Amino acid sequence: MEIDRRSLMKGMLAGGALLAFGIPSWTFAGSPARRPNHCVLLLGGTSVDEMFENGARAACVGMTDEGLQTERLKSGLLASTDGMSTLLEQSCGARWIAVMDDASAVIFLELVRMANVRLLSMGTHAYSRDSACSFRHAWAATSPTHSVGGVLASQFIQRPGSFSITETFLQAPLEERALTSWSAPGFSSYRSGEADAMHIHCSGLSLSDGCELIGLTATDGWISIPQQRGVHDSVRWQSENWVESVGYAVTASALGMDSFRESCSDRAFVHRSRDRERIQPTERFVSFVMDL
Amino acid sequence: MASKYIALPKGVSEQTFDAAVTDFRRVLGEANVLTSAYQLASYTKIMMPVPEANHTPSAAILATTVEQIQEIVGICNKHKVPIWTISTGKNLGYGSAAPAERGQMVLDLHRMNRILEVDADLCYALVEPGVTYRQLYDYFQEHQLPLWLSVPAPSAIAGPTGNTLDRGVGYTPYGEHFMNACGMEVVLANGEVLRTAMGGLPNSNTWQVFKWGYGPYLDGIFTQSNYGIVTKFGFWLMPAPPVYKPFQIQYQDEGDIVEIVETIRPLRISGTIPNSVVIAHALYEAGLKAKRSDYVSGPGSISDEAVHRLIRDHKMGLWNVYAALYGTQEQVDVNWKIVTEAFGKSGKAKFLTEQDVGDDPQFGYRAALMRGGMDMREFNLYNWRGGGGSLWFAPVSQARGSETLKQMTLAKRILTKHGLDYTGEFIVGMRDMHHILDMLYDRTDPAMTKAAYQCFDELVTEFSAQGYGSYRTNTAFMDKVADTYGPVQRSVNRTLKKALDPNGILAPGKSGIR
Repeated sequence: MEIDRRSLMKGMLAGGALLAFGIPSWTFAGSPARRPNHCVLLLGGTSVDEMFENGARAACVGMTDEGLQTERLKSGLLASTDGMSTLLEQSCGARWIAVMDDASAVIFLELVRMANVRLLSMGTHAYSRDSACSFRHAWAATSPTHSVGGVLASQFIQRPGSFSITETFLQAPLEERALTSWSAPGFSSYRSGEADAMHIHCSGLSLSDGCELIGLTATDGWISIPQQRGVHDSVRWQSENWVESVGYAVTASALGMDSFRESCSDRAFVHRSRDRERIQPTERFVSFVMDL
Repeated sequence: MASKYIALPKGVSEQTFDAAVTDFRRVLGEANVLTSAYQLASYTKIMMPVPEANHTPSAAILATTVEQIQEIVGICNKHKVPIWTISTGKNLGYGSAAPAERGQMVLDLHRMNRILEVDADLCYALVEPGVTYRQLYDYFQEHQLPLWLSVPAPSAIAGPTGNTLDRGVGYTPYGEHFMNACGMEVVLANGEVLRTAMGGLPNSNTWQVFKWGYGPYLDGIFTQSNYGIVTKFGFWLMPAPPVYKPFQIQYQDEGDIVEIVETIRPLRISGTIPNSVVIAHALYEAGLKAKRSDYVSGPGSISDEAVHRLIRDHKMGLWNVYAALYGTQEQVDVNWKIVTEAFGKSGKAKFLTEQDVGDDPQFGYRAALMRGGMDMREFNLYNWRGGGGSLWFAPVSQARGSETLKQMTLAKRILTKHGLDYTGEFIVGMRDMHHILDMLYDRTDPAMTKAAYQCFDELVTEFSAQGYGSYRTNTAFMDKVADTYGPVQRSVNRTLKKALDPNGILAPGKSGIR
């Protein structure tokens, strides 16, 4: 893992001070802390719970002494929301990582809005064969600070199979930063010419094919970003199972593992593999990271 | 330079918006004016096939009193800042809590949640907009009141004010919610507070019992509109019946829908069956028992063969009719005899009651909803395909069997063209019938998302050309649907808007009204 040392030190110092005082990290500042005091993994009773948890636990190694507190919903949220409301009340000050099926995710989001949580990211994950790209991940994150895509792309590129990862950021960081772009061997990177730039990183396919794969029609006006050395998220842990990889990436980001942030409004990673894809069962789920 | 706001209202500068936010904070306090991305992210989620950026709010403000709302509209007028009001914001598949247009500020009333009055003798309630069905349900339990609610599918988390104002429906005999609305308090754009009908008399105790008052009946113009902010809402409650008998009738062929509707209509108009009858296609219920990927791989619509395999595997009907009888044991027995004789004539119907099905979830959630219970299992349909995309298409027709096949053929042709499935149900009201289609698609698949948009657009165009208007639609298609009702309706709506809200601060774009 290549890291921005200054950011990491700042994060560690802030996290340490907050731990010492034992109060919610976001009490002081306008923005949620990069590293949480206390982290809860909420498993929504989906078929991917176990695999996601495996990845999440792997991400905890070396990141937190406390480990993950795990809460389990037996059968989603549709039959009853009583337990969830109580859990939300009791978890004030914690960072939650949650995994839900599509239906429960809709209800969950409604419940958390009523509970005034701070939503950091929401990801929709799919493997299905009814699409041009089988592995698809779409994140809405509040800012590049809480992005997950780079870590996941770095993991997926090590294994066979095409994928697309898109991220939309509600707000770009306000501070002026030295803008580095994520960059990795095999990827060609581009940014759109607009003020709120989109970055796209393509591997195994052209820019126009990459744009088409993620639903962009305009392929004019893109500016190539030169390759830079070592500005990608190197892989500390690898799994053959894609759900475990998502669990790892989401949790690593939630716990404050630093990754390369790009100053952009949208970001995409698209990779077309030459290897023959191993057919897997269709799976879809939704992940959340939030501060209560 | 990047803005400190995630979006700004159209035509409003950041400096002006800063001034408005300062004013809102003075009235509501710092904690009730939300402007950061972290606070607003949960207001941006939509299920429609358009970019979320199209519906990103600039801020959300939380009010708890009528006086605050009066001040809010004053600030909005001063700075020309538009607000999008939500009560609980559960308009799932119709736009959820996100505003119609980028930059509109959400006025969230979920904390304005007092149950002001429940009269168990006259069977009515008066509530604030943030009151949820769950709150009322718990209130009835706590006070041991023999009253029933009528709830839509999001039951526990939704509320009567927002659902009724969007002309939503439920599944009990009180299921046509606006028909059972009685009295509103509305803050107008100029800050005046209007109490409709009998509520205009200072000493009246008939506000929640007599709908019409004197002169023009105004309540209707505050539904599916943007002419005011409803701050109190009265509605009628159903007395709990001594006996409740929910039932399901299964049919196995698509063409049976004609016979089903022809059988239901006289039973509904005569009141033998007192609640709206749902006729759900197997694919509408399939998410409770299976996943689409168990039956289909690859792109395109599901085949009829796969649908028949699904219903065989899970002992479902291709059509699943749900209704209930309410009353004394004698009334229910007599009506059950009439119902079984009517449906039994052709020999195609398979009757199922609570005794037959055990804890079958398909029957269970329908039975819960037809008694106003808190049960959201209908949303399992979001797991059928998965991917978070949902668009409700809701054309209205006459309650005639011939209309069903005509509509189904048209819908299936358009859906198949775009590679999507027919996930639909018919709901027989009294003389009308709602055809409810949930267009399910995967938002992680850009090609399918694009197809979903084009498909919905074509559905609206083709159905309206045949005379089938939508009774409700999502925020991405409000202008298009408004157009189908003709220029004169749009012009009258605009005239009313100009008169009541000259600065256009209240939910511009709602139902195509600006």
